Amino acid sequence: MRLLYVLSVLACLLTEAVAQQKNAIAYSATGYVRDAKTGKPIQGVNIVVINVSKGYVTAKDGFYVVTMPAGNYVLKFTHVGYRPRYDTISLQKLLFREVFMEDDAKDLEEVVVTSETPDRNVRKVEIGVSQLSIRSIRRIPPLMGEVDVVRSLLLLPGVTTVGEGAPGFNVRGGSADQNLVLFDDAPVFNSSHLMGFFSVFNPDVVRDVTLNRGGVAAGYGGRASSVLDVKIKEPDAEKWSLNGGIGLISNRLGVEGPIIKKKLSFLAAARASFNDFLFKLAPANLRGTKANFYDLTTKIKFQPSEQHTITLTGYVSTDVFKLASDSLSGQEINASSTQFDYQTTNGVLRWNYFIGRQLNLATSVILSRYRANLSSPDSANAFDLRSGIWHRQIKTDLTYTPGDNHQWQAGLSAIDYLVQPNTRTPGPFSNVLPVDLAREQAYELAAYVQDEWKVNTAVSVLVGLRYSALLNRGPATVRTYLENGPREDETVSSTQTYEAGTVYHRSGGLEPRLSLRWSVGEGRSIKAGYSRLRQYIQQVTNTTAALPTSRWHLSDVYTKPQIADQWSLGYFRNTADNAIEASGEIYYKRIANAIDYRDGAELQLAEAVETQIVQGRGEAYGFEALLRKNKGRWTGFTAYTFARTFLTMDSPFPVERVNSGRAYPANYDKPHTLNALATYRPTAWFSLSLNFTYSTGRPITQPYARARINGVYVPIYVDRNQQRIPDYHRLDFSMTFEQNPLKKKRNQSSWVFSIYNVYARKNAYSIFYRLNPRSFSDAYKLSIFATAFPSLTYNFRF
Amino acid sequence: MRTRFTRPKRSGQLVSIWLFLLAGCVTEYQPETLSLPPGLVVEGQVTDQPGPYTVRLTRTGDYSNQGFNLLEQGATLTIEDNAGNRETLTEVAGGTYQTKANGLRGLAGRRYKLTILTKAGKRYESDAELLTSAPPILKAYAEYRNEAIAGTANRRQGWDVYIDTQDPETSGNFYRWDWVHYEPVSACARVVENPRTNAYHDLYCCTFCWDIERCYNCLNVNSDASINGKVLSRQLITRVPFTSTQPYYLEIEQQAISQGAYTFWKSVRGLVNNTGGLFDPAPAMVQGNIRNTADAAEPVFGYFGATGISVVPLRVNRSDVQGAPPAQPQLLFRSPPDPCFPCENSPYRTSVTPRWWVF
Repeated sequence: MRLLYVLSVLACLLTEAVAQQKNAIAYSATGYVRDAKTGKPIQGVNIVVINVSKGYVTAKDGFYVVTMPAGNYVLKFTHVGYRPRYDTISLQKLLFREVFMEDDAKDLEEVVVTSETPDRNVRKVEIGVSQLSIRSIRRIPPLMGEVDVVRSLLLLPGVTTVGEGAPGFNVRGGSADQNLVLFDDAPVFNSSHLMGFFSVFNPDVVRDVTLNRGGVAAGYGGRASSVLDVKIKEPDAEKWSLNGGIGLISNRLGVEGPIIKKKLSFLAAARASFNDFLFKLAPANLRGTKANFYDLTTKIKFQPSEQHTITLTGYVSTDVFKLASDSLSGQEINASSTQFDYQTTNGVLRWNYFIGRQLNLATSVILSRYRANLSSPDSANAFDLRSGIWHRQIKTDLTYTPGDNHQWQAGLSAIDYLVQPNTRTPGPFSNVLPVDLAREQAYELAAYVQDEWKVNTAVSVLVGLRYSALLNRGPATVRTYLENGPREDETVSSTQTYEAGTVYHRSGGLEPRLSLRWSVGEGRSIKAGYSRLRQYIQQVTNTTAALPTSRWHLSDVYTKPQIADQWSLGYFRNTADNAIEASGEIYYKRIANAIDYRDGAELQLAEAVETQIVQGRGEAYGFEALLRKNKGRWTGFTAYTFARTFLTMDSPFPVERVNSGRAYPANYDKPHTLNALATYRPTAWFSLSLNFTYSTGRPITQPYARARINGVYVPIYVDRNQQRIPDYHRLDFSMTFEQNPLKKKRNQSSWVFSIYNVYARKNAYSIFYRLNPRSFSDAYKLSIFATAFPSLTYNFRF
Repeated sequence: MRTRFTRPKRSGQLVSIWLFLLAGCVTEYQPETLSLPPGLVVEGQVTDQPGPYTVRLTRTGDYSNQGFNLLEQGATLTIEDNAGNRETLTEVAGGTYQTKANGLRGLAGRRYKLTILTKAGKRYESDAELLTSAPPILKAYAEYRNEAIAGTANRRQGWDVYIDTQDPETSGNFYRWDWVHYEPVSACARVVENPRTNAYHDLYCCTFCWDIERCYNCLNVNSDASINGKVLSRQLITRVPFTSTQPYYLEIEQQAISQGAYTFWKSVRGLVNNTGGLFDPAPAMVQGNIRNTADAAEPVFGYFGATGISVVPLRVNRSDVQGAPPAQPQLLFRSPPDPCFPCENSPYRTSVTPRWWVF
């Protein structure tokens, strides 16, 4: 640490020397910004020199340098989750100042949902980026007491879901697999526990969540719609602590602390559900049901010096879901029960090398594995259907900050994919035939460069260029189809086999990214953005929401990469000392090679995916408005989104068309969404939140006619997604009782009481069509969470 | 009485879990009514069993309880095979057309095609369907199972009937299962004495007589894609109710159907069982094998099949269970007995002793 002080002082002196040649009276104030309680350095603290409106940001290790002509200044330090701090300095020489910032938990004023620096939405360059701190996520009334990262995202403008309890989320007209979900840099291929009800991120270890839905920085790529970056907090390097909670669905336990003080620290947190007992109380036909999950997050941080930080993150998540029939299996095999289990295993080794105050190099080795398994136990028909993805990546990012006006970033990334589509293994006495679909293998390579350039005090641009490519490699067998027919098993004209390691197909291209901010006055700015994103890996499914066992597929000779171009424009306005924020954004997005499935597609065991899917055009546009109150006892926001998404699948061949080649709404097309959250915090130990959500129902396909065949009325469907389920709305409520943080106690605990769906609305989960002469209606509505759902959670920290 | 049997709902189980765990509920819902011009619906098949073979023609109707499916009357139907045999069917009832009892006979290895000329002058043709013989059923068996009645504390006794069959070496075998139950009856008619008091008496049958119960909406199909050349085991056929301690007589039909027919019945099953949930495949139009010869784009529904059938009997022993069967409707015979009533042959009743009946 001393060495770094010396180095940085030297660096400062050097710059000063240089500066002094130009302007004899420039001096620097430097030092570290630390957490007042733990002493941990804080990265990304905004430092504003009030008198001259100049801004600085602390580096990864909390180090800052403020260079100004000699004089008296007031520095304002602000950061997510910390109380702003003002520091008056008299700059006559090089100044060392260590700044301690206090947690804002004691404050009554709280920024809800986006706990960024107060004016960040107006000042930052990127458009369409939302950040949530875990504290603001905790204020949102939880479902069954489970604080949920993905569920909280649904309150943000532009984020929707196809239904309550559906896995994944949809961002600005993108499908769920078009979101890159990163958990400390490692991609998560299935972000849901229990088939979609809860997300896989343990709230006890999450530091913050950033969703990039508009201007995705050039450092990110690989998915067409958005990037959800979930960061794990740094282990406490000062003291040991134990925390946990007991809830209706899951129980949590975590430990963290230093192994070697300030050098080596460790964090581990586990979460597990024990719900089987609930099914024991269930009707007999459900008693065989099992639904359990657990996840374990660990992080080790080693900081041999202030220059080097090495972290190792490990994450395991497992779900077991057993149904007492062959429903959902999609396999035409007789079974008395079906078990789904799926598992995510991630590991990230990251080395951050702080070369100097201008240069930082971050290198990571990332392993991510997702495995899904479907099995049936009956001896003669026993089988085990496995699928999985191996993602192995190495990437490095170099940041260069030559001065106040430029911040350059460049990086390289290489991913090695191995996709195992489906392998069916019979049990020892089973008659089921083995099936082993060919593995898909490819390298995804990317390089990018980006500059954040402060053109002048009013205009900043973030300009980036990324090049990405997918190299498919053998072993593989590639079919050739007759030219004058659709792609079907029957129209194969020849096949070509490639040896292991042979690169048999390449695709790739440039991905320009541009964001522009123009400050048009105090607290007002106009922003514009353009981005192109390429996606080479997709989940192919013919159901509205993907099952955990749905197949992943790499782009190849026939499946072209999905390319999304998005243009967005926004106006941002803060008033009353950033207490009130208002913004409006419009966007237009075009997706080339969007994927949908053919009518009657059978994807699970299809040898060639191209015979089951179709690719076409996607088009999405929308308007997002947000009004937020950040200060006072009452805080909250209202967000309204208008969004439309249409797909067009046309082809010369009728079987490769959807809805005869006409545009149709995507499964997740929900035109109107209104979300509102209000939090009342009269004292430091009590808070109350209300959350209201409204959205248009998702599209469904309704029968146009019935035919009587074999004594059964068979519904006749014509076009996909032409009708909608009824609109959705719901009110939630929660109360949190904490210990008075002003009374310093070592042990802290809190109680959270919440009610989901306060007015017990029977929202439609699905509509199904059955004719029953005894009934007056022709269809039925299934509602889940159709009653007010109370829950109680106890959290503790020692 | 018609017994309802379909395979377990595709996501019905998940739905019931959501219902229980998440306090879900199912309520009636009235969607807006949509309409299509009525399309032709064809159902019928040629088998390798003795005829007559029946083809029914109807029209599609609105998808609502108020909708109705009109019969297509006065059409001219012809079935021909690839050996040059052809027979024109006669309309035996409105919209129901039949071959002669001693007429055309299905044979394995031949292809059969249906031609329809409607009264309105439109001409439709089916694909030429290949008739393949069905492999025999290896074993038919029943297993006792005591099942809970949903929503009550009561349990229902019964027997699940399964079959095992040896699939031929060649791949691309498609199956459909059907069954017929013959229930012996002693009363062939009921005389209602007073409709207000519901007083009645029954009349004995003059001969042995059986009620025929079929699986009218069997959508029980499977393929050999997962088990080719091996034993297809534990294929559920039906559930035998505990209505008496007498044996239950069942004839189980194993049908060899074409790939097109399999796809058709499978998608019909999918559509009928679809709950519109997030994990259900989105429904799509069911494509049959019949086309308007002048306008290929006109939607025609239904399937004309050529099916090989093998039949096995099964007598389910119902005497080894505890308790008495639930009360059945009482028969009242007067004494001295009234004159007997003849057993009238119909699709629902027969005086012909079933093939494997044991007195």
